[in-house]
Parts: sequence; C-alpha cells; structure tokens
Amino acid sequence: MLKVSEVNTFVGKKKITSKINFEISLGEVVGLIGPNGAGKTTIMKTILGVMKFTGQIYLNHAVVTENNHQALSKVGALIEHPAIYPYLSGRENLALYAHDQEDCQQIISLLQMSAYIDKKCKGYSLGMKQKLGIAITLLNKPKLVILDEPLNGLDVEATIVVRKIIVKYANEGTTFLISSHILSELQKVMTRIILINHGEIVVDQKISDFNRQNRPQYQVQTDNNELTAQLLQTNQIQFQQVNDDLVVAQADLFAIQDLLYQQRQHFIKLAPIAISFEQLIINELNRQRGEKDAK
Amino acid sequence: MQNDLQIEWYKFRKQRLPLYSSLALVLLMIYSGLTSSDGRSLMLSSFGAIQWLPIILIAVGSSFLDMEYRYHTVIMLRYKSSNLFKSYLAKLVIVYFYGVGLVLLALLLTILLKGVFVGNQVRWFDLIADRGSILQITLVNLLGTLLYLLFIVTMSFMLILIVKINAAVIGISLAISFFGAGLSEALIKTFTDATTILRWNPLNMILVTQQLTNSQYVQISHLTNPEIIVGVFGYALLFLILGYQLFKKRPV
Amino acid sequence: MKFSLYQEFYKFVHRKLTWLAPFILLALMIFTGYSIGYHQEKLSTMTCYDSPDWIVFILIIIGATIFSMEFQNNAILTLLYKSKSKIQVYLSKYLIIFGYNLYLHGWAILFTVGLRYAPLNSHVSWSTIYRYHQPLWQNMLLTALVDLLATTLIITLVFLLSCLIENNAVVTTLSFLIVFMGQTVSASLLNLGKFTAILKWNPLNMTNLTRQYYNYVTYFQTSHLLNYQLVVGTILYIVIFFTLGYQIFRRKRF
Repeated sequence: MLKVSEVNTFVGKKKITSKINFEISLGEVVGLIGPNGAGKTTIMKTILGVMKFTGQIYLNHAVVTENNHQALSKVGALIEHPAIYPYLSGRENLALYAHDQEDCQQIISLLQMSAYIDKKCKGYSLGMKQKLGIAITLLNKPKLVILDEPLNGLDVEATIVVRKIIVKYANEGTTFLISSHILSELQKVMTRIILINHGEIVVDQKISDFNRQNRPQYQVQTDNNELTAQLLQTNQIQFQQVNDDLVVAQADLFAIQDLLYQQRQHFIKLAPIAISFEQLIINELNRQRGEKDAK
Repeated sequence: MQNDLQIEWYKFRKQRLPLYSSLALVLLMIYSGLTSSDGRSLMLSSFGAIQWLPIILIAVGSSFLDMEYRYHTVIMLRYKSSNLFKSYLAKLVIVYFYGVGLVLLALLLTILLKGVFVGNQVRWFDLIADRGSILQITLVNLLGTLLYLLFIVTMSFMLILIVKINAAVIGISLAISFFGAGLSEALIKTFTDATTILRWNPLNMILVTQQLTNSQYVQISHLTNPEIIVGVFGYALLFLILGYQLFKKRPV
Repeated sequence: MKFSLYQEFYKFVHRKLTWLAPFILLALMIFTGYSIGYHQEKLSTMTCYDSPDWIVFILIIIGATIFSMEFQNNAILTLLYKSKSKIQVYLSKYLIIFGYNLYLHGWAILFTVGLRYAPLNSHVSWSTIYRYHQPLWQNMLLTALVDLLATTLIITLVFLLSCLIENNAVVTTLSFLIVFMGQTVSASLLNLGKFTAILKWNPLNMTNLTRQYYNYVTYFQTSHLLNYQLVVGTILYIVIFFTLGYQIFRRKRF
C-alpha cells in the first residue's frame, strides 16, 4: 500500500536520509523508531511530499512527488505539532477537513472530546490539542495515518483511548506509521518495527521476528545443575551461573538438550530472559555502532 | 479550487482581524470627516478610504498567511492540497475579495458620511472642470484602488515569505504607503537620465489610485493611464509568481 | 538583574535583524542623501540624513517582536519563573532596546561623518554656524540627543501596546500610525481652536519633538509648545507609559 524506494531526502544541499527502502501493506502498524535527529520526522514529511527528495514513493501504486499530492487524499498526518487554528473551536477545526459529519462525530466520541469540542482551541491544554490533532488525522476513513509522537502530552486515560483507536482502525484496514519514544506503548500496538539511525534504516522486521531474534539468552535449571555445569564446561559451551540458574545462549539450546538427553538429565526450568523493549533497541543501536566502528 | 476557496473563506471569516479592520476603516473615515472641512476632497478620496484600504489589506493579508506558519498548520495546507498553486491562489483570492468588500463598504459609508459631514454645500453631480462629476471621479478613484489592491495583496504575501516577520512586513508596507510615491518621485527626479526605466519602479504604481481621474499626476508618474494599469497588473503577476515559488520552497 | 540583562542581551545579539539593521539604516540614509537634494548639506548633516525617521522604523519592528517572540513559544513562562521579579524581566528588555537605540544613533553619527565626504551633497565645514547660533557639529549631536528622547518615547509606547495587545501585527500598525500620523492628528486636534492650552499637552503632540528641534519655525506653529516644553512633556509621557506598561505586564496572566 505504501512503497518507499531508494529515497534520499535533502534540506538545501544537505542529505538528511539516505537510501530509504521499505514497503508497508494494508492494516500494518509500523513503529518508526530511532534516536533524536535520526530522521524519523524527515521520512514522514517526505512521504507527505513536502521535502525535496530523490527516489520513488508510491501510495496504492500512485506516485507521490513534491508537486503531485493526488495520492495523499486518503492520508492523515500529525507531524511535530498538532495543526490547529486556535481561534476556531475543536469541531470547527475538524470541519475544515471533514467530508462526513457522522464520521466526524464518531471520532469525537471515540476520543472522548465531547465535553470541550465546541470551545475555542485557544484554551485547550497540551493533551487536548494533541487529541484534536490525532482526531484530524482520522477523518474521512484514511488508508494511511502518519503519527509523529502522538502521545505527547496525553494522560494515562487518553493514551489508552488512543491505543484502542489505533487497533480498531488497523483492524478495519487502516495502515499506521507511528514514531514514538514511548516504546512500551508503541510495543503494544505495532506489528512491525523500522529502526533508523543517522538517516538510514538499520532494522526492518516483523515485531515477532525482532523479539525472537533478540531474545538470545535463556535461564536453565536441570535436576542436577552441578553436573550440567561440568558437562557444559567440558563441551566448551559458554554459560553463566546466576543464583540457581545457568544462563545460556539461545543458539546453544539444541546442543544442550542433546547433551542432557545423553546423560539422562532433564530440564526442570527453561525460560527466556525478558529484556525490556527499550533495552533491545539500545542493544541493537550499540551493535550497529560497533559494526560501524569495526569498519 | 472551489473547495480550497471554501476552506480559506471559512478560516478567514472566523478570525477577528477582518472584523476589527472593517471597524478601523469606519472609524478612520469618520475621523477624516471630523477633522477636515474640505468637503470636496473628502468625497473624492472617499473620506480617506483610498489611502487606508491598502494599509488595512496589507496587515490582513500578511497576517493571514503568517498565521499558517505560526499555528504549524502549513503542513496540512501543503500536503492536503492536490495542487499547491491553487491553495496559494485561493488564499490570495479570499483576501482580495475582502478588499473588494471593504471598497464597497467605503463607497456606502462615503455616501452616508457625505450627508453628515458635508451636507449640501457640495453635490454629487457637481462638475469639476475637465474631470467629470464628483460621483464619477469618486467611483473611478475607488476603481483605481481596486486595481492597486491587487498589487498590494500579492505583494504582502510575497513580503511575508521573504521577511518572515509580520511586524516588518507591515512596517515596510506602511512606509511604502506613506512615502512610496514621494520616494519614487524623488528617484525619478534625481536620475533624470533613467526616467524611462525608473518610471516603472513598483513604488510608482500607487499613483494608479489618483491618476485615473487627475491627469496632472501623469507628470509625476511619467506613465500614461494604460501604462500604469499594465504596470499594476504586471507587478501583481510578478509578485504572485515569486510569492508562490517562495511558498513552495519554504520548509514546513 | 545582571543575569536578566545578560539573558536579554544574549538573545538579542543572536537575532539576525539586530546585525542587519545598521546596514538597512545606512542604505536608507544614502537614499535620503540622494533624494533630499544636493544643496541641503547642512540639514542633511544636522539630521544625520533623516536617520531619526529610519531609526524609529527599525526600533518599532524590533521592539514589537521582542515581546511577541516570547509569547509565541511560551518562553515567557520560563523567563518569569527564572527571574526574581517581573520588573526585572520588563526592565531588562527595556534597557536592551534602549541600549540598541543608543547603538543605532551612534552608527547614524558615524555614517554621517562618512557620508559627508560622499558625493551626495556639496561640502560644508563642521564649524559652519547653523541653527541656534551653534556650529554644525553641535547641531548634529544635540539633534541626536533630542531624538534619543523622542525614540525612547516610542519604544515605551511599543512596550505598552505589546502588553495590551498580543497580536504583533496590530502593535506594529498602531505604532507606525502614531509615528506617521501622530503629528497630523494632534494638529487637527489643536486646530479646533478650543482648549488649546490643555490639548497641546496631548501625547501625540510630543512626536513633533525631533522635527521641531531641527525646524523650529515651521513646527512651533503646529505644536504650540516650546522646545523645552516638548522635552518635559516627552519625559513625562515616558514615565507614564512605562509605569502603565509595567502595571499591565504585571497583571497579565500567561
């Protein structure tokens, strides 16, 4: 549904992102993750055709260029700041873009904004403005919604509401491209991760694959831990002793299983070590940095 | 295009500035009526309106474009539009239509205020030698103002994109309105050799609001009526194209 | 207070316009030199090539944006809680602009010294006796001094308006109208012929100060005030507007 190929984005003569390639299909929720200044917002703006770029962007097979935005009619976007006229009320801001009153009203109630939607936005709090900004992106049954840090200023309740809405719309076939630094929240909705650093994509995987690959260590206990430890040592399999557990690499699990079988030993505990998603990302970025230094 | 116009009109009329500006025009015209006792020139200048209208329209125009940058809404304007030029043009058209509305308001008020401040000393159908009736001259002056507003609106949009500070745009425009004609005249007088070129300078175009009904101004502008009209249109077109290019290039 | 001042100074020197303005001033002065006429060399020198009009132009724009800039990005909040009192915030902004006003007048004088040797006008010696039986150099310096007072009044007014109205477009328009039209409005008030004794002290009349100083004969008829009366009036209004502006700033909720 969205295809970005060989895209380099420029500000003046300076290249901000280079060789961006990815493809997103219908109903995917893609998390765009990366450190500050990595180029997340730039990629989003490029897809919206408001940056100077080379390469191709296709939306539903229709091309998007700086001067041709025809294909963007079914795209909703919230970039950096909610685009709101403070002298209009929330409803009036929505009305600027809404084609369908019913759709508009539904979004208002979904986001629980009815209490203040008819007041002037001038008096809105940061979170209220942010919700309104999200509401604008959801108007007119969009095919693609681009959200840049959508959780800015949202309270706990609003965060949950927004999460539910994303899931609801994604189930109905809307595709999402979301950037956020609140990874724990993003993790709950995204089906795919694109990690970028220094303007380049460094990881692009289904979230399940990413999690599996990045869960390399397991906690192991057997009916005779001491014996197992010796066994591993003699077979030159690396491990660590942590309390009552042996911590081993995922890659060695099959070999360990075979050894235990031969010695008539059994697992009594085999558990993947839960690393926080944040830690995974940091590990991944560190690994990238290491590779770069090695070069 | 129609959709663009609708949206821009909606955004425009909900602002407070257009309303306040109209009120300001009314007050300024009344002020002129209170302080001047020359009934005839009051009528010919629509109680000063032909001087105030360009100033008001500059402030309204540059604020209307500047606001999109201030409120971070310009990104919506940019990516939502299937044709960027049309959105830019729609904005211009709305501000210009507001200008037309103000001209009509000025005409109405002039007729009203004439009754209050001038009375029957001067009549609408009194003739001024070689120039026609007062009503005729007043109408043509307002027509000239309508032309000049085209120049003003396109210029205010272009200036705000160049200077980026709304306060500066208004300052420059006010200076142009008050000193422009004088500066242009001084320029032409100083460099007499270059008159054929210098008479086409943009500051000279403001004279279109007066010269159509007073042939003496030809000696100041050094342009004939058709020439100055072509000049106004030419500059409006130039400013429109330049402004649009800047709008397109400016990062969102 | 020292820190507030330093902060304002830092922000100020990091604005492009601050550095650009002297060049704009020079361009405008050269332009005046051309258009004012070759034989007006004494008047050109005394008024620093009409720099009073140009300096006020620059100051209004810079002054009107110095507040709106803070309002726009909500920076005003940080500013207020970081400083000990509101008067510090207000005063340090005011002092920076005042310093800049001095700086621009300094440049105007320097430019004038240079421009006198440019082929803009015929040359006269500095010691030529001109207005008030004083040599030209003294005329020039005193005009600049008097103008410093006049521009300070305008700055004070811009600050007052900025606190009153958040839209800087409106602030600028009003300030310019006061500068361009003030004297005309005041003149038409005084032309009513009634209450002249009181009305001549109206604030708009004070905008005549600099012009009257270098052209007493013409402007005295408009202002109905003597030079020293205009000076006193101007100082009085500076105090009034400053106090008023600060009171509004103090009570304003952000």
